Amino acid sequence: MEGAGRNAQEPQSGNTVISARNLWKSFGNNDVLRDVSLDIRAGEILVLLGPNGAGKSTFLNLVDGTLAPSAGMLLVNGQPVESGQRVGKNSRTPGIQRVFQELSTFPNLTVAENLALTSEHKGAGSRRELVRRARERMKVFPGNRIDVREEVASLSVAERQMVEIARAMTEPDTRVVILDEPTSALSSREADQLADLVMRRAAHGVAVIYVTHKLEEALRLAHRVVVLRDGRLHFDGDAQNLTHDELLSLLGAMVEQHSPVAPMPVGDMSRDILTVDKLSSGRLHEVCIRVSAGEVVGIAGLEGAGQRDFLQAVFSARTRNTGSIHSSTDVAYVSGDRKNEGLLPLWDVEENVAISAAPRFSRAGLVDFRGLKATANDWLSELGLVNRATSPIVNLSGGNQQRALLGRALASEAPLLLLDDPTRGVDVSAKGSIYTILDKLKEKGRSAILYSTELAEFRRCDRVYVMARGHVVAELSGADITEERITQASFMNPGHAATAASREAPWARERLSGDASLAKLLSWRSLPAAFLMLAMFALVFWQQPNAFSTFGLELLFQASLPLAFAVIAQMLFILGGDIDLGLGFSIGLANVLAATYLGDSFAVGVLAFAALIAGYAVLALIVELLGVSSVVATLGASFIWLGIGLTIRATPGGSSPEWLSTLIHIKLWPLPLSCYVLAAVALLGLWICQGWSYSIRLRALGQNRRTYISLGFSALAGRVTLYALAGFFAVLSGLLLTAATGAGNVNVAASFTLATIAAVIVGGASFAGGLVSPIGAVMAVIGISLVTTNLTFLGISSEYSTAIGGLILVLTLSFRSLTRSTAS
Amino acid sequence: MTRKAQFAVGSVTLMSTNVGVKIWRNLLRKSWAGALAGVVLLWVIAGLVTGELSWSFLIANATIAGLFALAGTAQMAVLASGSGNIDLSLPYVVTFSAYVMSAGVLGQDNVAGSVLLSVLVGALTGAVNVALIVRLRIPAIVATLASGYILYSLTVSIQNWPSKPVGGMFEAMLRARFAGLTGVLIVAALILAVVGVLLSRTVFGLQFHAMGQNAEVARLAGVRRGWVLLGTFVLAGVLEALLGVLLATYQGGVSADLGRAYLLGSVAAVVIGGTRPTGGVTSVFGTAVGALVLTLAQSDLILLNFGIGTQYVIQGLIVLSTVCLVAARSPDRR
Repeated sequence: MEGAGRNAQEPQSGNTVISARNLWKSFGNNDVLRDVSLDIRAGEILVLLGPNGAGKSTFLNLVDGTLAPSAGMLLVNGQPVESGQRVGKNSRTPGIQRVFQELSTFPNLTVAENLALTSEHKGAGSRRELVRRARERMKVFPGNRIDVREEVASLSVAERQMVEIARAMTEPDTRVVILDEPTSALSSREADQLADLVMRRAAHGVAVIYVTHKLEEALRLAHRVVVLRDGRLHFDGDAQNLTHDELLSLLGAMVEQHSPVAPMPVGDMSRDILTVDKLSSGRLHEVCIRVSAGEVVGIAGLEGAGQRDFLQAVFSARTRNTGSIHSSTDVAYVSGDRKNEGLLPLWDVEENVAISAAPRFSRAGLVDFRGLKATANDWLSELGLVNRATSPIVNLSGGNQQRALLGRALASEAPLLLLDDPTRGVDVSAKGSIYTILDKLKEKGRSAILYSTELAEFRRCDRVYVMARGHVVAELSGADITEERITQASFMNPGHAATAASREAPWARERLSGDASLAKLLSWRSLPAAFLMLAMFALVFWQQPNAFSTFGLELLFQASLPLAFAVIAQMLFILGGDIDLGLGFSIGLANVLAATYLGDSFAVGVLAFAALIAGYAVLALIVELLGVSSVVATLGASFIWLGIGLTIRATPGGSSPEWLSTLIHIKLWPLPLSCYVLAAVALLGLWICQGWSYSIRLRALGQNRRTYISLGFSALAGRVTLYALAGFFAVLSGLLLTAATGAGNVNVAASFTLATIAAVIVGGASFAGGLVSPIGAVMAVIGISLVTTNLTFLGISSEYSTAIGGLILVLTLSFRSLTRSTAS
Repeated sequence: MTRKAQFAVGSVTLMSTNVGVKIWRNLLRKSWAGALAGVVLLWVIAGLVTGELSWSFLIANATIAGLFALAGTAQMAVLASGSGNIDLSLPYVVTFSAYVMSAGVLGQDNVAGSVLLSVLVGALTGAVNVALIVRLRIPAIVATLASGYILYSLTVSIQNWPSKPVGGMFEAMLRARFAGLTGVLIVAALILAVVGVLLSRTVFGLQFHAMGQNAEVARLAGVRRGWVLLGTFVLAGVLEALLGVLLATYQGGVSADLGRAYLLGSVAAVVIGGTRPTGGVTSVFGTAVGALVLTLAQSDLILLNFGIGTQYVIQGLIVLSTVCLVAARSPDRR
């Protein structure tokens, strides 16, 4: 690297890797990308700049194959990419790696597993090999303190970003790397390392497309700068002779001397309805803002500079005065993310508007629907939507939906409106009418805070605060509110690079070694289950010292065997993010099948079991393909299991086949057979979750199905595998019950359904899916069954073990949420 | 405003005041139209088997279904409050309050006191569930399981108290017949009507339906989610307690397994009644019709000499095919 920090090295004149010819992309009538032609050569660092909404993301989506162009051609390695190739699951073009702004790692997997998930040699190699390879790959950030065996969930945002970058940068056969604001969470030291890395990779002939809002970064890295504005290619040229100010003017800023950020003269404070004084939280740093009655205040800045965080903080603090936010009024929120934060999709327009006004129209507890309807319609006629009042809101165009949502905020009569990018994705005429509404609002003395991704909209504001990297860096008013000045302020660098470092300094985490091992023990997910099991053992031996013999242990463990197999079945469901509410009866059915058919004809018995497992596979199809919730599907199935069981054997009866009874009465030394079987089932479960070549993928599926599919894996295959395996364990559990009871009874395991859910959770599973602990689950089963034994010894009715089970469940979960909150 | 939150009273008036094609078209569009057709079909089948379209057969089934509908409505409220919510404490609340009635915890003749205590326990269980869900961020399915387990042991502790059938006025009232209808059916229908009003005519009901569609949207529209969730689970708990009270009094005997069938049955009734299991739409009337479908199906199968096993299999198939049909038709598949 050159002394000035400028990468002056000329790119080797590499071959063209990506060639875009007259690319167009439109969404509806909206042209997002217009006629862009661009060649990207091997070994080149291309910095892509542009204001919000310039089409950067769309361009990247076309390049990596997530989207197909509306017109034009895209050649990758000289081959035209047909759009047909891109739709469907394999949406990523081979050889192109992209690091997303939103992290796409799986938090429940370790760093090593995340790196292995997408790599070419799938599943090959042992765990140790996996870790070794991951360490090798993470070396691109020298001196990082990331333990590749740790779950990604326990890493800081910066560390996660480093993992993502390392993944993209070290993938073999990579021709192009796309980095989308990669340093947003990194400290300056890590950003330096990244810069080094980018240059090294480029020197090896990889093309790098680097999107950033940080101009100093652009100047330091770029061989070539491309600026997009309004979807068009605005500038494409050599980076060598560009200066900071030239970049700013290319981006549309007015270049002048940096004016110091002087707070505006404080106006009439008595009319302030909201004052925010040095609010710091999450991404925000000492944000000071005030809003007076009848004022529209803009919050400008690049996307992700903290504007949305600020609006959310104000909304959460409404009518309460919390710390730095003093709000004297009620607040209404309007989001431009209509699907996730605006629409109530099952209702019509009128109902969507009326919901916010309902509390004001309550008489003796009942809603005055006539008055409510009238109010809603008043606002709708003001918005010109009254003729659509009874249409389902989802049938409206985006612009009309947004107007209706504005109507909802207005109908609440809250004096302050928070407008979170309210014109996102709406057409020009709808935008116009939204502006008109804003003007009327002001006339009526109501106030608003407007965050928008479109600079032109801020001209409607009385004052505009500009945010950059979580700070308010400028306050503009009146004639000073120009797109140029806002752009200029948006690219300011408050606190100079110290921002990220002061927040996240991963290597600064110095822990005493004793503390570390205690913390590790406390964060062990199966700790409650282990504690429970050991405590119950101690209590048993304290009361009955002679239980400590082969025979005594046999008696203690025998009872928990069938439940241990059942718990693995339930665990497999929970691994996939599902629940089996029919497990008890499917085990009961297996028990009936074994006691009825297996003794007479082995083949018929095995066929019957195969049918039961096939039933589970069908359930997987219903859940995965139709999107039926697993709770309802397995509940329906439980009727069927029970019914078939009762049809075959209305009352308990049958017998255990001789070989089965012999098998479980094998005497071993020094421990009884059941001990070995319990250990074996726990290890088998562990192998399914950890050791199998499919394990990593199954856990990824349980954690985040959508990301899993986007990586090109089949969720259907995964779910069928999980369900069929669960069915297999249910069959084993039923077999053991047959051996233990010597009879078939479909109701014998009815309590297992809920007991297994409890044991899996106590054992260390999370309901988010993809996070289970088979060893913990088996320990929980042993512990809970020993509770019953202890109660018997103490002369207390064993029925109370259920209550103790419930208490253990609550205590475990409380303990877990306690350690989680102290850890973070 | 409330077309999506229909309930028995509303639809009855609708049918008596208007006539004509339009009504039929409206009726067919209801989420419970299929279930209602099922009721008619099953009644006709019973008529064909016995050779007589019997009104008293329908009333007898409706009486059982009315009780079932209480459990179904409780579960419906919980299911519709947000995707993934379910109340597993339902059977335990039902059984516990039944024991409170028959064991006469507050003295054998203190019927009013026992009813009050049952309802209080139901409401408290709901409140505990919400505390676990909101404060400890435990998923509803685990929270309700834990509280259910604890309640189960409380049940065991009062199980061996001397119990006797609840007598007196209350029992007489439930067993009496008014205009051909049983007292217990009328009581159940009244309770359901109150719930219907609560869900469709109050601010709570509106906010509840908003929350069920999208909790984040509801929050940004000014709905205090924690309070609405508290209302939902307390409502469910009270309904379950009332079911226990009615069962103990009307059936005259109590067993530890009393509530068990209602867990599976409640979800089945909700699904068959046309409530979206992912939240946002409820129909007390639909759930009641769903419960009637389940009871009638069982009675028909008994008339046709099918065994208990076949009855369960067919109930399971009805539930599964209904959810598959609804899911296949809904546009927002995952």
